Amino acid sequence: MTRPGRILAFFLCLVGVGLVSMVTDESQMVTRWYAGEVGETISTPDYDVRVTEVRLAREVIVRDEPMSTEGVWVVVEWEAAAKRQSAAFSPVALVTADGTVFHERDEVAGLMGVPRTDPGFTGSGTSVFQLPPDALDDVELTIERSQGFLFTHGAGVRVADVVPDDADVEDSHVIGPPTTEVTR
Amino acid sequence: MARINPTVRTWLLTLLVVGAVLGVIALVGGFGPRDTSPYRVEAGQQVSLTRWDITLHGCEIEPSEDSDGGAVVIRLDATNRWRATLEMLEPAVGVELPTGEGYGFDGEWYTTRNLAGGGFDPGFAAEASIRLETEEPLWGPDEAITVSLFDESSDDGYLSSDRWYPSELVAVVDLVCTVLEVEE
Repeated sequence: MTRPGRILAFFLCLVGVGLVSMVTDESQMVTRWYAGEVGETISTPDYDVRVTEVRLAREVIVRDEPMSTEGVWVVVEWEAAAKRQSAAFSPVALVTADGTVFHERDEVAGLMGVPRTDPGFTGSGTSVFQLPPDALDDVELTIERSQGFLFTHGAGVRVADVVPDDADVEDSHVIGPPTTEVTR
Repeated sequence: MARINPTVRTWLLTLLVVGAVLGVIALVGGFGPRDTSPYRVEAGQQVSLTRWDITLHGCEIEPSEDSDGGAVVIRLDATNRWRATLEMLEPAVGVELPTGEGYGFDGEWYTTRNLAGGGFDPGFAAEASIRLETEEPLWGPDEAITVSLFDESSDDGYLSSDRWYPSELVAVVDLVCTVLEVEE
């Protein structure tokens, strides 16, 4: 390599390190966000996502086991269709108006969450979140594809104002099992 | 009077100065164990940290059937005061056993468990436990384990985004554990 070439390579390395050092929030690792609304199919290059139903409940029942909270359970039913390769989704989170991030409850996600989905199939499932009752306005759902390290997430999905203003809080809601169906 | 070689004299002076500095440090207790008495609080007292409010309640020892050691289970209440769901108490909590073993940041692993399942959501108090295993012979019934509680800092950016570490000791709690009977 010539001397100018070596100098150029050195500066490119410096620029690379500088760019990496600017990543202060994991959400910035998502290459691009795709936004949409409840009920709308949000299409990314790797997968499609559609939020089908959002409910509020004081108690949820998962496989006959009741789960209570001092807050409110936000129950988000959604489906995902992978396009080019198998896809699983994590983290799935609600971001409240003040920027607080509530991850979906692991104990529900493992049983009732959207399953890993192969191309040609659509997986449906439920994400459950625990929120304070006074934090339900202007809540955004974020879904990221769980794949690998650093910049390899690819695309993320944002669904704004995911909790309907007129949503009633059910006393109890039974979570249905996840499904996978052929769609192509 | 014999003259000392300048090189030897320089070395002797250097050693003398280094020895004097080390002696002063030793005299003021710099090499001794850290005096944690100003930080000591009683079990049952809530301690506020950077991301947590923690109240330690007690601990139990489950003797192992396969070794002289066993499992130590620490009971506590934890409220996540951070702006995102958290999965584990480390590195805010460190544990030292009478055997000299350390658990937590820079030590052995322990397991954090939210007794309601899943992670710790912001603003919600949760009953929790810390579980750690030791194969060292168990200690006497009057000896206490030491739980240290720390404020935390994170190194934003670079390759390890959001990596937290203990920045300042806030409180130290001594817990005498109840030894549970081994079921035959």
